[in-house]
Amino acid sequence: MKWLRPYATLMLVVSIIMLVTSFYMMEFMPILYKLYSGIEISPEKMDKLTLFGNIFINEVRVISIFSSITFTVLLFVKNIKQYLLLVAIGLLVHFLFIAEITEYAIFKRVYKLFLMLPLLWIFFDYFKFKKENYEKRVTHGFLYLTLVFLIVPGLYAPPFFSGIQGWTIEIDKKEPILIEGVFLVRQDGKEIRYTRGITNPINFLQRIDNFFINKHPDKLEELLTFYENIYIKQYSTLKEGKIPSQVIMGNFSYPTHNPVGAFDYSSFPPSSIKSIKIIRKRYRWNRELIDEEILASKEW
Amino acid sequence: MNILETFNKKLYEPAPASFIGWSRIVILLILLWKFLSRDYSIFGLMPEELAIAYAGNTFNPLSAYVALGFKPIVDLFTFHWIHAFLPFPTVNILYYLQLFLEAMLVVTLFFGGGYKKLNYLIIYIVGMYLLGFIFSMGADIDEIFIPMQMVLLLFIFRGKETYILSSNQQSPLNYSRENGWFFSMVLLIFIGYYFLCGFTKIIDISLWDWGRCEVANLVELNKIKIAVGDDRAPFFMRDLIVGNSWMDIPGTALIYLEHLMIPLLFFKRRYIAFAWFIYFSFHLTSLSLNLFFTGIFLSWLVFLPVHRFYAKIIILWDGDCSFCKKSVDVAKKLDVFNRFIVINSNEKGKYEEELKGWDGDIDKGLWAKGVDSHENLVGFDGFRRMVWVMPLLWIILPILYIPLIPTIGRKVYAWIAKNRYMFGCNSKGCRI
Repeated sequence: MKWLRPYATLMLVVSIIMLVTSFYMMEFMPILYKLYSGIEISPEKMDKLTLFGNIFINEVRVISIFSSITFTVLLFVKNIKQYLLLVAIGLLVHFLFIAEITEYAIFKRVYKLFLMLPLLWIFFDYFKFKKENYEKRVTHGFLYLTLVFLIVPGLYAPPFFSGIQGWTIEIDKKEPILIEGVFLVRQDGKEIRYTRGITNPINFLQRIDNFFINKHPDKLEELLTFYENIYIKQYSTLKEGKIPSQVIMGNFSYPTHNPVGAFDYSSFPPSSIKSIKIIRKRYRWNRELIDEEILASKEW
Repeated sequence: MNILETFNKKLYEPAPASFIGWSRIVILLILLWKFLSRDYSIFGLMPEELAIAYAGNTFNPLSAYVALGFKPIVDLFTFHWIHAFLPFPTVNILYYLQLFLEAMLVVTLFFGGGYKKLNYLIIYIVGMYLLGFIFSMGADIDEIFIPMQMVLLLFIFRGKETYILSSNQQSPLNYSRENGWFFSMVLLIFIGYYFLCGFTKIIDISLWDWGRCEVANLVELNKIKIAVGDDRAPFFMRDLIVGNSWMDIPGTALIYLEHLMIPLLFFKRRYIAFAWFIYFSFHLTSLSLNLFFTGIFLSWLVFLPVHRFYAKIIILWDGDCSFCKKSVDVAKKLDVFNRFIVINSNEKGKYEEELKGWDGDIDKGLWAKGVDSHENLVGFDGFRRMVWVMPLLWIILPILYIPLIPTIGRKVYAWIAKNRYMFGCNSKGCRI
């Protein structure tokens, strides 16, 4: 455990640097924006970025102060038992208070990473993966892998990942209801929802749509052409009132991850389609349409 | 005994070989069903330039959900790194690859892993490659990760298989430490999956956030979205949830707590049925939010102790109790496959070998012991074990495992056992 004190010192220094940096962070926000989105921020979005920046910076400060306190205490820890106690207290305080006053999961998970990183060495040192039979090596390897996924934020190596995120659901019934998705428009103007059942196994179309709309608008036409080609390929199934996942097993097919709506495509043969669009519609809770916005469009 | 010693002891707690065969069947059938219901050839229509929507790019990095789901990492684990050497596949290549995988799943279902269990490795590699198109987008994560981890475990497992068309297999009722290790590893896969999900619930959100999960309102929102034409399916349970906000906090807390406490299942395995019931309800309820975790929902079936459906059991009953005799006579009639070996307690001297393990206290009620198994059950649990081989009573079997039913059942059974002579007695020595 001799290494724990230098580790605590290093993390304390990192926490203090984070705290000091937070006072200058606003100047770097446009650079961070460019790094994330790949494009320069437009002047009209600056106010929004400043607002976001204030929240972001406050959270960095909260976490770095909490982190500084934690690692100051860690300087006085003498053995593994005391360290484990500190981890438990740190997580409890975090769960009860810090997670409540901060919003972004990334900072919370980084704190967890700093706090629990020594566990990786402690566990490795304890088992050393020697003098063990085959089964125990596999078991300890699996447990070690689980620990790595527990500690490293957002680690994703299929078929392993670090767990579905914690979330809250607060619904304001005064806010409009958003419906976003791909729609096919026939030559006579009638439109129909392009269900995710068509692209199955691709399930989360909206996530992909938003990714290309926000980050690669230059590739939107290609994306819509891809959807178009899938529709043409699968139409023989769709016109029979089935989705492609039901070709072999019919109604007994393996369900889609997000059950799909029933849409009748029999009167929407590919030859009758004029365009394919990604549309955002807004409704009131009484189901009245407020407005709709075309986010992307392509002639068929 | 410290926790590590207990862990090591539990790790090798003997389990029947039937578990290996049954879990193999469940997992391979889930995968076969899934692949027969999916068309991965559509990725051949996708221009390679569009294959950039990786999980690490599409999710908000501030949520840190799959923040490290970038191309190099995901491609490494899904074998998509091969595209650095080979061109992106065409529709035909993917179609035949999927067909090959389906054929492998069928062959393996009947004949097992084959030489060095390589069939499982092939299924894993080809399966991960095809699923990789979806995994890269951060989808199907909670749907199929457990089955794929189990395929890998079946490859790693060095013991013999069961329920295959080959003479090179072990008897399903063979209990061994090696089979017990396999059972423990499967349990650890489930525990790892759920516990990691639970741990994020104390890191990403606070205790107070546990009370901010407006499920009933979200379900109502789902209903309205369907009404205005969103891409969601109707589901009858929504009507049961809408307006019942009182369920939000206890429901959420129950699931999060179970996620966090699930490691205890490794040590207290008799609660597997309890955990199964809670997750069954949870995954079914998630359909109200238009989410269905079919793969994981069905993966729980691996814990069904199938050997109980056919393994013979010894039933010891109180020969002085006429009520017990009547009950046993009814049970014998329902034992259509002749699985019971019924022993009257007055004749126990004749069955010393069979009665090994019995504590000698008939006042606890009837005693049921699986032949060739490590099961040794008394009272309500003994009765429940009997139901496994009585097909006409299978309908009540799941009910006997619903939380609280066993607790109440044990108390009621204990009362009946204590007062059994009130319902009739065959002996002069009975107190009435």
